[in-house]
This record gives sequence, structure tokens and C-alpha cells, in this order.
Amino acid sequence: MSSVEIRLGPTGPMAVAAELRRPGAHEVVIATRAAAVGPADLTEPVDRVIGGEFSGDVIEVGSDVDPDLLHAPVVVLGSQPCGRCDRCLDGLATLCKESQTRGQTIDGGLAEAVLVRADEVLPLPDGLGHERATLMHRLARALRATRRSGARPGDATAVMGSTPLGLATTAVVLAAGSGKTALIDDHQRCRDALTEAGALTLGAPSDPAGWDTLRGDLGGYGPDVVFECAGTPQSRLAAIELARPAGTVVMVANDATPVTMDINLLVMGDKQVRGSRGYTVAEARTTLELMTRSRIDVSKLIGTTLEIGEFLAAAADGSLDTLLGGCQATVVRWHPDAAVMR
Amino acid sequence: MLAANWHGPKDVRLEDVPEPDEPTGEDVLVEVSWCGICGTDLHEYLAGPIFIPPGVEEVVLGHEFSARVVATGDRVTRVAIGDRVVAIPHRVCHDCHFCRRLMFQHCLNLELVGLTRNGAFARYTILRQDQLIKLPDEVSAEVGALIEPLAVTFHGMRQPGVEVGGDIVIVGAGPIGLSAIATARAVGLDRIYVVEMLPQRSSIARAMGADEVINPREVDALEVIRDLTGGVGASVAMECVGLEQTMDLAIQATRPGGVAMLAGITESVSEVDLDAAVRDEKVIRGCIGYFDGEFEAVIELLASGRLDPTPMITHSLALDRIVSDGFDQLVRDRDSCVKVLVSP
Repeated sequence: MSSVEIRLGPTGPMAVAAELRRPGAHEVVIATRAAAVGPADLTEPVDRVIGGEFSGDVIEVGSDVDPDLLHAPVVVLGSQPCGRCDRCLDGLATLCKESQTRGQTIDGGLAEAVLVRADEVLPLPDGLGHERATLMHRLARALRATRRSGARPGDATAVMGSTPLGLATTAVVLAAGSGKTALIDDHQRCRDALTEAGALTLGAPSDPAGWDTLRGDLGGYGPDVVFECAGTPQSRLAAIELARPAGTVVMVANDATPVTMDINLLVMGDKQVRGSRGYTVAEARTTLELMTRSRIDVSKLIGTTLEIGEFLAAAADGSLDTLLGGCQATVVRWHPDAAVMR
Repeated sequence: MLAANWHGPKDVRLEDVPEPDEPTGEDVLVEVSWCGICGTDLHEYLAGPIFIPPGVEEVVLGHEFSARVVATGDRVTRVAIGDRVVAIPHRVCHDCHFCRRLMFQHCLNLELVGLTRNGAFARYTILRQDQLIKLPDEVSAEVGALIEPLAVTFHGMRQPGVEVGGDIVIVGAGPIGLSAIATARAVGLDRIYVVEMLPQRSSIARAMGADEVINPREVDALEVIRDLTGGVGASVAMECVGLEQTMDLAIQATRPGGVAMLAGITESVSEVDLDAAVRDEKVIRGCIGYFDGEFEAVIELLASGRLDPTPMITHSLALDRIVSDGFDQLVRDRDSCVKVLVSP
């Protein structure tokens, strides 16, 4: 069948006509209805379909796929572990070395139609629309990070970095019953997004005295748990310094740069750093349920909604960088009747 | 009385100091039996002040010790004159944010015997009754002086991710590394791999229960650990040296999803691969001190014979030899001089 895909070209996203093969026995074809896009979609590698976080309707199923899935609204999992390596077989699928990531190492879903494995899709619970469903990926990562943190209800928490992941983490931490919760970043617009949701929103202090004040504001002697969502060496070090004695820092964002630090901060502070990567299928299902029942407040996580035509127009006139630069999600809707260049 | 009095780096003096006053209230006067030279004491001797607060001009060192009660204050109920005891160095306020949460080692008004107040490299010292635990007959006074370092590594073995049947890499076979071997064995870890380059320490490590001792001067330690662990690394690593290379080895030797504990105190900044925590969901945690009840648990393990730290005692000497045959010997001969016990 013919389709249109939004691929990253040398000058930005562009619509490209494509021919989709029929689904194999264990595959399904999805008509994309919404995809969340962000700055990462505008960076290399080129010539991939962008939009790793997407949701749509199943329009064709392979011969061995449950026929009930036909016409079902679904969200597509963000990564594909291989299922065969030692880590996958040991129950560590989120750490699979061969894992592929939608929209990055393999094609994303901003397309008229997408072919995926049937085991990559999760049906949407009743009442959860496609636009909100695109947030499942970042919220499921945040759910895993929150669970791995060991944070207990009432604990003081801080989230470093008002990145999309930082906002999602703040929303999940609030849903988990945290006590004082702060989102720490210098972007006023992003901080504003969460003030109404119940988080303190604070700028990163510029001097040591400011950090002392911040510790005092959060739990008296620093937060019990700090979530590091900016992924920079500076932010990682600040997160360790900010956590209270015997506190926990959960690192959620990737950054391969080594951190130069006094390791006694960890040793004599009796602190721990825990990593969190990806999410499991079970965590994705839980996230969808929590979103559907409004246990997680996602109202502040979407900043802009665009029709696919508006998105392509912005790509053409060079205004896309501005639209995608915020910490809130930009969701692109793809209506079945949308007239996109073929 | 004679005491080993710290005045600054490389300046520990054997001095005549006044005996403590008669104890009042909840304080207890004890006569020290044996006191071990801790790595922390050596750090203070070589590069202090580290734990000693800035501005302190002198303090009697010594915080790993056993003793006998010789006098008690009028409100003491937990011990009596003649009791053999071991001392918890933490003197806490029981009133601050952390004490109210039973996190005594983070007490905001924490005093440390032998670091912030006079310790046990002297015939007598003063403690409060809540710092004292009676020693059972089965635990000798010499072994009683090892309970503190054993409690440090026992605290590490109680962290989430350390499980019976698991494996562990211990980097460094100094006193803390050897304590880690003994406690790892006592809590049911199966395979214990030790990285140590010095021959005598390697022999003691084997005597205390190490399954393999890997000499990083002879082989690629990380490669050997991966070979020994089916290519994935150990479920737990404990770093007991305090150098950038050894911390990096401990983190790398930990399998995905495992726990790397850092127990070594460093004297300089280090470059740390924190992304290993995200990439492989490892836990990288500091390991220091002990929580309430952990001294008692170690004593129980010692009394029942499930924990035997005696091979790590390499030197026993009188207080008047502590500098030349204690501190300086530990620097001169890191191989054969491991745990030095001092009797005042």
C-alpha cells in the first residue's frame, strides 16, 4: 500500500512517498493518529522516519495476529529489545545491548501508515485518546525511575532539569505521593508549566549559599531523592551535592561524559546513585492505566498541538526549531483525511 | 597518662595527657584493652584533617576498641564496673532531624570518639552508656577491637542487591577489604573474588575465604573477573582502596543491574563514569559507618563462630611504639602490615 512518511532530510523534516509492504504473519499496519516530536527529532541521523512516540489505529493485521486487534487504537512501544541475548533472558530487557529505539536507530511513526511487529503495540484503554497516549513513553520511563528510586510517600524530592523527561518525572513523582517536590531549572516557561500541578519550581542557584537555602527548603537538609533529568556532568554533580546525607540520586538521562568529582561526596555522604533506563511492557501498561484514570496529571505536559499540514509548513518556513524547543511535548495529529503531499 | 595525640599531618605525638575526670551522668570511664589503627587514622596521620574538624589543634586518636568499665556516672544503667565492652564511636544527640529518623551516623551534632573528641590510644577514655555494648565471653578483647571495621562492611552487606548466593568482587585486601571478605562469607555470598597486588595480603585474603585473588600487576583484572562471572561481572563489588582506577574497576566489574559500593576514602578528585549507572542500571553507592543494631549483629556472628577476622591481625604492640611500629610501619610495609592492634 502507498503511504507518506515524514523523514528527516538534510534541511529538516520532509514528506516522502513510500510503499508499504503487506504485514507478515506477526505484524500489523498502523495508521498513525498522533506523534510527539521534539528537538531530538531534528538531529542526525538523517533519512529516518521521525516521531518515536506515536499512537494510531490498527488497519491491517498479519495472519497469526489476534483479529480483535484490527481497528483497535494502540500505542507503539519505544524500543525493541532483541529477546534473545543474555540480558533479555535474565529479565533485563531494558538493558538489551541490541535494543532498537523507535525514531532514533529505527524508523519512528510520523507517517500515514507504519508497519510494526504485533508485540510492539499496546491497545489503548477506553477513554485515552491518541494525543495523550503519545506521552506514554516518557511517563513510563518516569514511572520506572520513580519505582527504582525507593522514594516513599512524603519524601522530599527534586527533579533536576525541566526537560520533557523532567516534566514527566515530576508528574509521576507527584502522583506517587511525594512531599515537597521541586523542579529545578532556569527555564521560566518550563517551570511555569508545573507550578499549578503542585510542584515548587525553582531556578538553579548560582552560588553555594543558594544551594544551602534550597536544601533547607527541601526536607530541611536536602531532598531524600533527586531525579537527574538534564544529562549533563554539571547537573549530575549538583544532584549528588543536593541530596541529603544517605539520600538517593536517580539518573534518568543519558550522558557519556565522565564526571570529575570528589568521590567522598558519595562515600562520606553515604549517598547512592541509581540508574534508570527505559521501561518494561508491564510498566507501559501500568502507565496507560494511570493516565486513563487521571492518576497522573498530564495536562501540563503537552504544550502545542499541530495538524500534520501545520507541522510541514513550519518545517518549510524554518519555524520548527522554536515550536519544538520547549520542555512540553509538541504533538502532531495526522487526521485520516489529511491531504499530505504524495 | 600516655596518649597518641594528633597535632597535624605526620605529627602524632606520644604525650602525657591528664586522665579523664570521674564520669558523671550517663558517662562511663573505660580502660582500653585493645585499639586498632584504622585506615581513617592513617589518613589523618598522612593527610589530615579529613574527619577531624578544621581548627582542632589536637585530639587523641583511636576509635576501634574494646575496653573494660572502671567507673560509671550516677545515671548509668546499661553497664557496670568490670564489664567487658566494645565502643561505638558515634556520640549522637538523639534529638536532631537525622537522629529522630534513627540515622545516627548522620547526626547533625555528631561527635566521633578518636576524631572530634579524645579517643582510645590512651589508657582511659570516656564514653556515654549508649555507646557501649557488652562483649560475650566468646569474643576476645583483641577481636572486640575489630568489631568496628567489621560493622562497616556488614553495613554494606545489608544493602539491597546483596543477596545470599550472589558473587562479589572486593577491590583491595587491606583491613576493610579483608573485613569485607569475612562478612561476605558470613552473610552467604557464594563466590568471592579479590583484587590485590601484594602477596602477603593476598595470602590473608585466601585464608579469610577469598575464592580467587587476582593480581592486577600480572593480569587484566577486569578481563579475569568477566571470565569468572560468565562475561557479565559480579552482582556486587566493594571498592576498599580509594583510588580513581580502583573505583573505576569496581564499577566496571559490576554486572548490569548490580551494586558497586565505594568504601575507600579518597584524597583527591576523581573522574567517575556515572553513566554506567544509567547505561546498565547499576547502583553506585557510598558505604560508610553503620546503623543502629549492626554492632550487635556482628558480635552475634563472632560469638557463634560464623565470622572469624583473626587472620587480619598482623601486629600487636604497646602504645609507646604506635608511631614507629604502627603508623610508620603501615606506610613502609603495606604488604605484611595490615591490622595493627595497640594496647595502652
